[in-house]
Amino acid sequence: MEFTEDQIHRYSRHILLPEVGGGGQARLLGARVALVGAGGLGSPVGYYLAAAGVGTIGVIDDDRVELSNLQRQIAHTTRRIGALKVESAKEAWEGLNPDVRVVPHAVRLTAANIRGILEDYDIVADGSDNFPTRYLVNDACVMMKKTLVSAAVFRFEGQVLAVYPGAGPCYRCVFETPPPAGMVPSCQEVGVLGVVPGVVGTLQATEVVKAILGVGEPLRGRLLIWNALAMSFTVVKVPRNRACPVCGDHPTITGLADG
Amino acid sequence: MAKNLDALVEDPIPEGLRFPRLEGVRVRSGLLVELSGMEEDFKADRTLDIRGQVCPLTFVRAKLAIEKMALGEVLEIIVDHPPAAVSVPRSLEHEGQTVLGVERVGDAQWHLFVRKDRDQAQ
Repeated sequence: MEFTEDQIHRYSRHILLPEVGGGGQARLLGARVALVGAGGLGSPVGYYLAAAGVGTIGVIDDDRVELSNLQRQIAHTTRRIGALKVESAKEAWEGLNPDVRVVPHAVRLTAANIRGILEDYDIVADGSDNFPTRYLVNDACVMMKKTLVSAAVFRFEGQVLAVYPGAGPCYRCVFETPPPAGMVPSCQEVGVLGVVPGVVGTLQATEVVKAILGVGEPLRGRLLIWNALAMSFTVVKVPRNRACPVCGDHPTITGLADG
Repeated sequence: MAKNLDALVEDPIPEGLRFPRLEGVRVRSGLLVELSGMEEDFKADRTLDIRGQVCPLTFVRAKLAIEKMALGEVLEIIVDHPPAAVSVPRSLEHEGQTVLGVERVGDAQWHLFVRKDRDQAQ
């Protein structure tokens, strides 16, 4: 592709990398990534993808910006309290890079609407704050064969896993069923150190960019766990579960359902 | 025989900016050092005039130009930023391209001849 003068300058530090070059930058500009959630994880993911020139970023969230979000959800601002998070994020990310088109989806993902939304995207980054959505997104990505980079944070810790349907484990292979409702507090209910989703979301964005470029070793079959207090990274090898209800040899989950 | 780019560019480049060596560089007229077998001519398929540009944009533009060319084609790059005369060919070699020659014209203008031997874009 022909880059504009501005693009040559904007992406020069990418183009310099042998693993990226003009060809890789063109792939980034042509990529379509969906972010589930415009919160603590979605904020840095969207920022870095926008900075990288990922051409189309869909963002799915039906919440509005609240004061208590701003300790970690850096896509939003004090002035935008009360705005839809997807609109606030669009302003932030398109402001960073006008090459990027941010498509706001101010809805809650459900079994009924998820296919229609995700079908426009190649890669999905899940930064949702609840288990029903997490499993719904995993199952939809497996069925639609979309690359999924799933991440979660809790207190001082976070985890990231990349799912390549048909080539490695899915989220359900690793965590077969959601914990029973009420057993595990959601991030809406418990504390989280503000920088934790920043670090974990940045790792998640890294995996998305690697997937677009086709470089390096993806976090496929490897669950990455980062702990802020210990300042430790742990990588746990996770196999595909042949009895997985959604991606196993004989799946029992063949349709999508709300958790 | 100039095995070493230091021989091509002496004064304008501070010691710290010089790169140790660039193997296989052949040198044409107008240079401090001549090489036997100079009769071989590098016919440029394309010319990229980036005088007035500084590093690292010089390399960025050279790389983008190379990406658009076919394997075996030769790009002539004209630079006047002294460090670029050394670092651009070195970086292109690092990416698998072949530097055929570096021609110095006047005090601070270099014509770099680079053959595309490797396709970076996947």
